[in-house]
Amino acid sequence: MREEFERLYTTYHQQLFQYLFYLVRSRETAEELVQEVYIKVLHSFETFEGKSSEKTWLYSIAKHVAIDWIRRQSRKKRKFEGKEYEWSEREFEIEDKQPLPDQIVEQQEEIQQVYQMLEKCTKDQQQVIVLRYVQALSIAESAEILGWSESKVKTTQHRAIKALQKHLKAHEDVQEGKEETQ
Amino acid sequence: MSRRKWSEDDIEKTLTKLPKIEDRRSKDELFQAVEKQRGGRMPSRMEQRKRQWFFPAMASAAAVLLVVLMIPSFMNSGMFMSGDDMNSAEQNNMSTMSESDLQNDAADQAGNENTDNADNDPSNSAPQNDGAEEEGADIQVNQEEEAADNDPVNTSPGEADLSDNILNNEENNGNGMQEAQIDYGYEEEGTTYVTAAVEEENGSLVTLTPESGTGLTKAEAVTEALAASDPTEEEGVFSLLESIELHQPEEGAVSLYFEEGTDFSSLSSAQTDYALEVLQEVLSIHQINQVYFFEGDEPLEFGPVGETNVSLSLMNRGFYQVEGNLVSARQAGAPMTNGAGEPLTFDETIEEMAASEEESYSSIVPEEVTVSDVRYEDETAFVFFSDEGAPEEDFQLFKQAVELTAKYFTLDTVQFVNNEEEEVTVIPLQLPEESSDGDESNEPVNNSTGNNEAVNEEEPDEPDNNAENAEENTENVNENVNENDENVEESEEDENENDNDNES
Repeated sequence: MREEFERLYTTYHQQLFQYLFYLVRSRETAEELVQEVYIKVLHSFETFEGKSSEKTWLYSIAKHVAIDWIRRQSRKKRKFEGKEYEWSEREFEIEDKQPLPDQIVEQQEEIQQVYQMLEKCTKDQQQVIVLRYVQALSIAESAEILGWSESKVKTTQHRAIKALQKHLKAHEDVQEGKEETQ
Repeated sequence: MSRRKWSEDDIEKTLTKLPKIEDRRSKDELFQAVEKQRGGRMPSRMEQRKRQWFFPAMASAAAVLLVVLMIPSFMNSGMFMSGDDMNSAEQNNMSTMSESDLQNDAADQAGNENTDNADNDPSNSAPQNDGAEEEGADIQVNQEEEAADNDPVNTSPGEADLSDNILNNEENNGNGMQEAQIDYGYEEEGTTYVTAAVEEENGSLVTLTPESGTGLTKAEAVTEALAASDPTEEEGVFSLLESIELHQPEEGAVSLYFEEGTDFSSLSSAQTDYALEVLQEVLSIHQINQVYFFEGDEPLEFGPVGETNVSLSLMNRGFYQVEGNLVSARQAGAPMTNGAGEPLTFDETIEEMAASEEESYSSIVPEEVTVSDVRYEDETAFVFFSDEGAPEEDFQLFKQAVELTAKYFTLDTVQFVNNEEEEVTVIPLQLPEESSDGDESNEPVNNSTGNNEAVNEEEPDEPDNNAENAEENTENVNENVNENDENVEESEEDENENDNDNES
């Protein structure tokens, strides 16, 4: 068990952690979730049939853990507030209240903007962007992780960049407007 | 504040500069945390397995106990000698016996010629029922564990609740249930194929329209679907299609033959992507996993990359609505695997379809419809539901979505069972490979309307066969439905009757 863990840690840990971080946008949550990934992986390692590569299998589990967490948060929040509301509202809420992580704050302004606007993309678009640009995975690997066809990955990536462009431009327009009023 | 134009290149470059985020914890710290968490709670799937094994195990133990208690009383009353006269309570007693020698003795002494009906194979539940009805002495043997193991679809240990239901059915098969059999209304509908369209206003989403495949072979449906799903209207990619061949050059593939002089190298990457997405959506429901392009006999390069064939994914789990349009889970981005990364089973998929609550897509199950259970027997899926007045259009879309979902599994038929209305709708899942005149499916099918019209005029053989099979299955499930509904009550009544009989 320990040996298996060490091998997986050495080979994949920081990549998996980074992937989870960009999906849930919180270091603490990513730390919690990466543990959950290891528990699932170590539990089902013996049943891993090798139909996909070990790497894409791990990513696939991490993706599910992250999505489950996001859904749980959504349900908790709704239960707490006792009302129905849309994802977009939750996103605004998070955007308003959640400070940028330290590692992002230290970056250039344009990187901060891209990070912030990435959150406005759909979950699928975020997934593809993180896998393709942040994790530098191939289209084939991304398709396997997401359970999509390769053409779907390409199309979603294309849409994601377009969406990000739209959000960045809108953001700049808002900033410009603010500056003019000042 | 910097002012940028934010070109796509800028964005892509900036994305690659996003900082690397590393876990600050050491390997040992993390291992300890994982160990602590593992010790604190079992993984959720383990919990499920543990819980789901418990009840079948308890049921088995109870059945064995009943057998031990009943055998002496049977011996005393000489029940095994009087198969024709057995009343329903006695049959109930018999149905709980698990020793095959007793079963064979009983079948022999009752003069039952159809001894095959006493076969232990749980998949032969329909003939077993027939035998029970005809002879009144057929004996069902509990095959609980085998029933769970032999289920062709229900291979996940996390589906024990489903197995329980099937087991309950099997426990009761062949006993007095046929006396209380409800005469369910039975209706067969034709199978469905889909045409696709690319909604550019909706982020280039590929939306689907179910079409009736009645009277069509699979090859004809594929041809019709491609003709109606052209994503490049101006250039008319699929309008240049002359013929198709299924299972060529290999099983599961389709060869598309385009007109002489066709050149797809000038297609833009977006047009190519759209066309490939349409092929994916339209063909994968027919279990086609590879598409080859030909111009005459020569391989044809498709799109700017110049691929002469493309692979299709056969992985899709469910269908959803996006702004009133039917879309696959693949397109909607809905979950298709469970927490351990395994593809969802059919019942998990239906559950996910019913429960979906996302911003980008919504459930296809109308609010008025409640799916109460999903089961499998052999290659047939049974979807039990109640309907509190869903609009006909919504209800049809729901049924079509479930049917399309089932096409991605190794199932032959899906049956919608409405317990309240006592109605069963049977839908075969696969279009016939051959037309009624016996043409081989791998004969090229021309992309001409006249050809299809000619076929439509004739009744293919396959639906008739389906109808017969479906009727048999429906009879079987009618009993099962009744049995399940009244299972608890009957158990109690049976116990009382048995007690009375034993006393007398």
